[in-house]
Amino acid sequence: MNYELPLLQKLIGHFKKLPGVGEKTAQRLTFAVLDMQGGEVTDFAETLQQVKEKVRFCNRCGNLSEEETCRICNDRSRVKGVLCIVERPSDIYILERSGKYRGGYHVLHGVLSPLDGIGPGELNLSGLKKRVEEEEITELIIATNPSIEGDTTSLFILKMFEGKGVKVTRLARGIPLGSTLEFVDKGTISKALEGREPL
Amino acid sequence: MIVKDIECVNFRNIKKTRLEFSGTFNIIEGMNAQGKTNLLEALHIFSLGRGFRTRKTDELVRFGEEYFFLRINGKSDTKVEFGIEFGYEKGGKARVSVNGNRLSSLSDMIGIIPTVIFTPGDVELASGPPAGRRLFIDYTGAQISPAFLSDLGEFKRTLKHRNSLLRKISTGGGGIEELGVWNETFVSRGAALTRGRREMLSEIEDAACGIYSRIMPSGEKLGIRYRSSFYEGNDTAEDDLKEALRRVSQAELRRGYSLAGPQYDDIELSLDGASIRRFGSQGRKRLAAIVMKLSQAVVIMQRRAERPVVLLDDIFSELDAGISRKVRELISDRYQSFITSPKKEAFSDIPAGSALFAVENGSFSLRN
Ligand SMILES: Nc1ncnc2c1ncn2[C@@H]1O[C@H](COP(=O)(O)OP(=O)(O)OP(=O)(O)O)[C@@H](O)[C@H]1O
Ligand SMILES: [Mg+2]
Ligand SMILES: [Zn+2]
Repeated sequence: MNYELPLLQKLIGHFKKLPGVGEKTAQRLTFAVLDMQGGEVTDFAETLQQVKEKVRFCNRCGNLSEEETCRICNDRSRVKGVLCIVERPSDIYILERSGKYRGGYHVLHGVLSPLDGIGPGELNLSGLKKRVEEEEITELIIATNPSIEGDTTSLFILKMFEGKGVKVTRLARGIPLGSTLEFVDKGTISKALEGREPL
Repeated sequence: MIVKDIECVNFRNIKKTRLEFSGTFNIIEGMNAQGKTNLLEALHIFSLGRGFRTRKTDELVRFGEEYFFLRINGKSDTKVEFGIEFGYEKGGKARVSVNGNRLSSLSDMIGIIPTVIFTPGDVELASGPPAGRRLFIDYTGAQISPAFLSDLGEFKRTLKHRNSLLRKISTGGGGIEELGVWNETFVSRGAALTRGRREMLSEIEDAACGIYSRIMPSGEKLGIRYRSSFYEGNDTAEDDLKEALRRVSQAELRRGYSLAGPQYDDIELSLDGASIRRFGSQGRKRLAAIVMKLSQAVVIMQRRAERPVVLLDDIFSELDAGISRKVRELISDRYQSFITSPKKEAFSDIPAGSALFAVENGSFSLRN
């Protein structure tokens, strides 16, 4: 005899697909949903749907955005002419938390990785080239992760702009080797931004 | 380093056992296929995170079981006590914890218990293909220096990337645009690895010459030299590797994989200047291999200020009695050792304080 409730099991199953959520946590989350007020649940469900529908990549920098262009790109108070190049949108949130950086961003959506079939064509590099020309960029700060792939991508970008009058620096020192930006604390990032070095 | 005890559950043919070891000599006797080597393999797990006879950790799980579990307690030479647990479920990832703290990655475990293992296959070090000798030097470096381990890992990953890119280019899939930057990464990581290996090997050579002449007081002079496929030691390793890549670039684009770099390097062993691989007798090859391993132990001890644990898998039956005794002297003087033998009472002169275990069908019993 099976006493399991199919709907409940289905919700538990959905939660379990989320990173870091195991069977036990998924059960807890499911019971928390059961405890919600009716309106709250509707809002929760609608938000999930809307996030998927409305959040997309900024048409300029590749950051996550609910409009065509993201808030950072639209913020007139941010310093013009400087772009910080990151692997993915989540890196922007980490750098923003340090509060030190006031320029623009550009998201590559990956790094060079032949083993995964990723070459320059798979990265948001043509967008970068266009921006450097159109937005009169004079400095690029590369903040790819300090890995083999991040280093090689950084070299590739350096070569792209060699002799084009753009200062290219690498945000590197101070960030422990092999660590991804996600695990680095605020203080380290501020220091790394100050100590960036020309490539 | 001393391993005080081990607990094994479902490891190879060992169902469940707990053994307390001697801090000096541990002899494991038993007939063929009873589990002697399996116990050494369990100890070896704590050195590299895997067995020494297979890369597939699934094979280490006892037939019909789903997981194995190992735990050792030990004491460093600085008298720090520690406990390490290693759990593995079939098809899963190993879970390792040191003093109850879970390690985030298996490579964090490498080097905690410095280990030197001797097996009958070691003669290949002197007589076999270069891959075994590269492995020897890399394994030495990995146990001594986290920087070396990281250089090695980065080089291997770069090589895989580069080969994958060359394959793509050679089959017309494009990719020439980014080859230049992958070459630069390959050159910087390849040069770093080559420098690290050369440094490591010159320490090994110093130790090996001394050891060889202790075993063979009136013997030949042993020579050990790192033979890089591209680096002669004059310019920087970077310049030489760049130049080597330039020479093979056309051929690489045709064949679709890397044709130059430290993955082709070798170590040359010689006696009075004559290559052991080409001119050495079987006995000299075996001895040279053993001397390499003994030197590995010395270099680990010097650099880590920690004595490695020595595992000897049935190597004495193939050696002259005289050489065999000297090798055992060199080991028992200094290291905790684990020695397997298929013969009963193979060693007449067992030092006091040794432990003798008998093994039958995966069950161990202490005999003294
Ligand atoms: N995963 C496994 N599960 C159960 N038994 C295994 C497993 N792997 C190996 N064995 C068994 O272990 C035995 C071999 O053990 P081991 O290699 O330690 O022998 P040994 O005592 O060193 O013998 P020899 O003197 O021949 O070297 C074999 O009987 C083999 O079937
Ligand atoms: Mg054996
Ligand atoms: Zn934007």
